Amino acid sequence: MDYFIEGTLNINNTVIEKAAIKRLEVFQKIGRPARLVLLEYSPQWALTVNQDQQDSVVGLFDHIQKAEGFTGQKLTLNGLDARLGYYDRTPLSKARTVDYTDGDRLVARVHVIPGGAVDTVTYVGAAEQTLETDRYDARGFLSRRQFWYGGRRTHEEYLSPAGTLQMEVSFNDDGKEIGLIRLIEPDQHFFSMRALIEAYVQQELGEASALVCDRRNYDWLLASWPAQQRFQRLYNSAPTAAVPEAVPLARKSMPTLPAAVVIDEYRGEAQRVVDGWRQVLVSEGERGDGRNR
Amino acid sequence: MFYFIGNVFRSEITGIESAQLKRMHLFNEFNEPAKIVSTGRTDDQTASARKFGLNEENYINEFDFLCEVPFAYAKRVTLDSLGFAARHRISYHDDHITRYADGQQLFAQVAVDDRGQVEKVRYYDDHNRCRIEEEYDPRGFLAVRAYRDAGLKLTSQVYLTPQGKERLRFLYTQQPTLRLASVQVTRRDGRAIALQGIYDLHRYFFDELNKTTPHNVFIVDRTRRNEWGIENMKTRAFRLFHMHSVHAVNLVADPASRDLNFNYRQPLNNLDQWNGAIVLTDQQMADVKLNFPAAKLIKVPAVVIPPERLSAPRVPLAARIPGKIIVVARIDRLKRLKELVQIVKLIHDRQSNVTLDIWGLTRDKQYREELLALIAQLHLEEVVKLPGFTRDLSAAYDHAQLSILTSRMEGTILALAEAQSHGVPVVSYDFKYGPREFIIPGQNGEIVPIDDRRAAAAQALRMLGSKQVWEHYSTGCYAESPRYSADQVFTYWQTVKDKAAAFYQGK
Repeated sequence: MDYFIEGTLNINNTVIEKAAIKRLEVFQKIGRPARLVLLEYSPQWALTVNQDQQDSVVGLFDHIQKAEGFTGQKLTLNGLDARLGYYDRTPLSKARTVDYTDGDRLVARVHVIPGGAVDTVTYVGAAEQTLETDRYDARGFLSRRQFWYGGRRTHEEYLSPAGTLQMEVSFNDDGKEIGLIRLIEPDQHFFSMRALIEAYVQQELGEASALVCDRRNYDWLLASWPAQQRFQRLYNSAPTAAVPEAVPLARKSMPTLPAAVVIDEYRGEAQRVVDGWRQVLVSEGERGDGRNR
Repeated sequence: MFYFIGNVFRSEITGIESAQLKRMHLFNEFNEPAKIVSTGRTDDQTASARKFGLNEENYINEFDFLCEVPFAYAKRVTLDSLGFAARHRISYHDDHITRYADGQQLFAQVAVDDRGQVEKVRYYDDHNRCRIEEEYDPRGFLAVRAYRDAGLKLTSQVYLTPQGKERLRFLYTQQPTLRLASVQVTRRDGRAIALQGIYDLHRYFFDELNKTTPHNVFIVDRTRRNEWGIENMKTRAFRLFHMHSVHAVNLVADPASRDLNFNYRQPLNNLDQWNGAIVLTDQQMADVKLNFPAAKLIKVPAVVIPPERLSAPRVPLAARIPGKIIVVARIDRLKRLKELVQIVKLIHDRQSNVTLDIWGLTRDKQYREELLALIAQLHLEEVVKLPGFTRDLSAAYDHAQLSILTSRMEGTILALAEAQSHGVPVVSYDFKYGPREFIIPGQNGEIVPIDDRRAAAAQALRMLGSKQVWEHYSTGCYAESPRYSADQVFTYWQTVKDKAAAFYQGK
């Protein structure tokens, strides 16, 4: 299996993520089973991938949240009323927000994305300080609850589509550094996102035929994930740190990196992209000692 | 339905909870539906309630109600059932604590009780700081999950059903100071309610409870915790607060004192939010009326002498311990027990067989130490004993000859009427309220001015020193006790019931 290592997919996908989605089609055309792997929390990914490609997207958080293969409908404001219906709802503002109020007291502020799906619900205290931010998955379920204390994020809870707690994350004083990641079932714990990702890759994905890494913040994974071939997708510049045994992939030839293979996945003609990948990918029969050529 | 609103039961109870229990028995006797309702939560509240004879039929706790916990829920949760040992190394183990680690890193610590039932599970971060603590209800389910920040400050708590569904979430803030910022209720139907703190939660609970039965009467026995919630209920209910104690301080010197007892300040200042208040004696009613002429007051004695007590054989002097004085009072500065010891010293100086037993739980440990020091100073170690708390005082009363009360104030003093029902005459300071309700001077006891130790000692010596005198007073005690029989006291409650009925009929 080939894997494309990505962070997140959302409604503001850049050309990099859009190219990664298109790459799924390319690999399908050349007979390479491939999966796009999401390693960051991605509650909107289902909005950005065609229905017929959705089986080709796997994600760390979907796996933990037992949401793999889940297909639900978006949650609308009318649907949210089932939870917040005791309160008055203001009309949708230009900023795509609505407020739920109890008289003059703000209870929660809701952000709605284009298309009408509820994205976030922020609950506030008496002085309107943020206490909790709930994130809804585009498939219509409450997916993550973030809790705030004195303006700092202190912990998060990740839920299954059925609403059961699957993972909780405690943060350190800066609200960013992770102190503890606890999986509920099975009971496991980690102290960094990197350790969690490594365990996921090792336990759930295994050795790859080809790996393509589009973002530099996952080059460490590209280097450590057992694979027959590794590709480091570059955008406009050469990487600051090369990944051993990884083939650099560039949009166009780079004088500073003559070894880079050129495939323009962003603007290139479709057939040329297919041919480009066909040329660089090693087929099963061609594999030798398991190393890149 | 009558709801008697109080605090959670602990292993030892005070006079207010005792009054609630007796009232419950009274209502049961007259087939009048009633339940004791407690707000708040403690680990042992169900076991304690059970110890005092409460059950799912007559007791409701706020957190059990909101988290759908059956009173009788029982399940074993043990180290084995948690299953940590299959995935983690045991790094420490004794009878109560087991720690699990992965490599050298502490993963979790589990505490169990003497039965092996899991009490707490703590999860640690990479700096061995407990960031998540799970508290198990003794009945066998994960009840509360608490989260702490890196500085170990409590940031939130989640209260769960036995099936693991979230029902309450307490969110804390440190702006401007550490406090509860919000309580989120997740109802069974999935709806969320954002409450503004613990009192708002009590209010929500009372409203939800009020929906479960029609035409309810809320009798608030513990006002401080519950007054705001009752006053701000959004559903229609008949609401009374019960003044178990004096409504103001310094009433002896100034019956019109406006220095209100903090327990009743809120309801007395918001009388329009209540359908009235229950007072215990005529004297209390008169004093409250001095400052609150518009208050709707209903007198209901807190004392009920059970029929088995009224029909019990009278205990003659010969069957009692000569010179035995009994006092039933918690060890608390308010009870002024040092004053009592000084009086006993005066009596003992004249009658050497006198002994005093002070029965009651210790509320104020420092005061207990002071009391013991005084007893030692007066060389009364063999005379004055503090046996502690017991649920059944019948034998103690039946062995006693006399009781002495030295308070400066009480709401009503149950122990006074209880002593009299056992044929024990009472010598009491003239405090508010109780002595003038229960003591008929010359018949079943004597009232002396507050702080007049010599007068109290003289009356005690008079009763203890003459068989004829003692028998006169003891007979008077037995004879007057039926004034507080169940039939008599329930007629007062019938008045409350009639007023509630009129309220619901819109009269």
